[in-house]
Amino acid sequence: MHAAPAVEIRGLRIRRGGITILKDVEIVLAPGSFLGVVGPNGGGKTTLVRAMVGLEKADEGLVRVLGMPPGQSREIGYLPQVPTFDPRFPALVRDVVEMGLPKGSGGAHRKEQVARVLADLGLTPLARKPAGILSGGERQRLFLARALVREPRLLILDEPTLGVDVQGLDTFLHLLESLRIERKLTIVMVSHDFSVVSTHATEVVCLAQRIHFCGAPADLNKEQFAEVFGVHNLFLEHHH
Amino acid sequence: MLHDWLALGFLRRALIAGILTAISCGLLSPYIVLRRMAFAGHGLSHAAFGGAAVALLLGVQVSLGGAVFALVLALVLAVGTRRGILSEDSAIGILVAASMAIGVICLSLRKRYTQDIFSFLFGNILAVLPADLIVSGAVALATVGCLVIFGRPLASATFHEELAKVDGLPVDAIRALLFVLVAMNVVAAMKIVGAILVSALLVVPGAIALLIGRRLASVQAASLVAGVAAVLVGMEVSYLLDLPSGAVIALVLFVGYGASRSVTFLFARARRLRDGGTDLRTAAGPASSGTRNGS
Repeated sequence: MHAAPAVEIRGLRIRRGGITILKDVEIVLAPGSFLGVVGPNGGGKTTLVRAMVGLEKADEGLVRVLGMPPGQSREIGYLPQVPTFDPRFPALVRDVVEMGLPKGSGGAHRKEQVARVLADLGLTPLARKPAGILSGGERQRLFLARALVREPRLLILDEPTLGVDVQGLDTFLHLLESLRIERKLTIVMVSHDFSVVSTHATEVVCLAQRIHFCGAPADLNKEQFAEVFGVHNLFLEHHH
Repeated sequence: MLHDWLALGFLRRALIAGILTAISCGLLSPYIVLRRMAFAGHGLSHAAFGGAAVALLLGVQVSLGGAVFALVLALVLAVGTRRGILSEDSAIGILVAASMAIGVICLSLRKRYTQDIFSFLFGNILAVLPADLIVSGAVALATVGCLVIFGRPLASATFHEELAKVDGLPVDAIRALLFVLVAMNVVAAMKIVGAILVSALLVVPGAIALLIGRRLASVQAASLVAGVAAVLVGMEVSYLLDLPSGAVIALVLFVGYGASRSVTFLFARARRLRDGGTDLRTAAGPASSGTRNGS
């Protein structure tokens, strides 16, 4: 028996202010997959993931996430493109992570979960610091911790590697890989950087208003890449 | 002097109403500041003025007219701006101007200002009636109740509205609830500081507390203390010097904010000097330095 898809999108069309952002988008993602969404600026990558989490409404088509309409499942972790908040907000790093937990879990269990995810992301030394003093990269990790603390089945990340240095990027991608394998976590990650997703994603979607390629990263050729990005020289050959 | 406040009935009512309003506004104030609703609070108080003037013309309870206008504006703001029909500040600007215009026209039709409308504009805490006390108590109870019951979702939605929505929180309802609470507090605070100065009680305690507290609970506690202290000091000073209570309370809050700002600035400077120019982030260890834009 086949498991229900983690993400199922059929004939998705989204228009905003008379402009078509996305059209004819079809994606079926099996549980445990790692989907990389790449494409040029303005290609609709962020709109696509926002539609998955219920922040954008589809004008046409079907979107189902973990078998439910967008915005219904409570087993999704989401990292927005620009993880900003008012730095005056009076909360410690651990308080912000705890906000990601669903209502009702016990006090001791909550603390344990928060401590574990803080340790996973190297945030333990910052746990008692005010969240408002964190740097851009630290905020990125804080928001990722908030997304992971509820142990989601689906993790949706919008440009999570912005502002992260090379060492941090490597650690981050290995963390995602281990989460995917250990917890059977499904990951959808938007990135403007094809080299980031090509090495870790099991599937890749090239998006520029519509899907130009959908498949294993190794199957994407230079011509398809150029069709989406309009350039050849950014394409990286990858070896398995 | 305290004896006077407790011995005389009208002074006792003023004291109780002032404390109740300060508690309610003080608890709400950090949310107003963090969600940048200060202009909304200002707008709602001016809308209430329009309602009060209409009520005066119709010969009904002035505070009832103010409450109706403030609540209607709160709901229009909550629903209208959610649907993206108009931005919040534009909506407030347009509706408040209309409400004030209605108020001015209604007053001009009466041909004379009355004591009632003057109290509504600038506050008259000594004119607090038993019925006003009931209103203040009910508003304080409703505010405290809502903040206790919905504290967690309210904090989450204030921290990041989109993430709260993805988590399944009813962020539009939370926003509407806050607008309604602000409108109710505006009406309750009218007798204390008046429509013109009500935003002082709604904004300044939270602004002071955010300079001091590091967590939401401590900020709310500090805001409550700042609000109550300002009302008590302001009432005492206004009583001693025979000055309008609302204006004195607003000035006490202003002085309190200035003093808090100065003290926190001096503390931060002393800490920087003590740490040899390093900031808090440096003390966080190696995990804080692994980012491209880390410092």
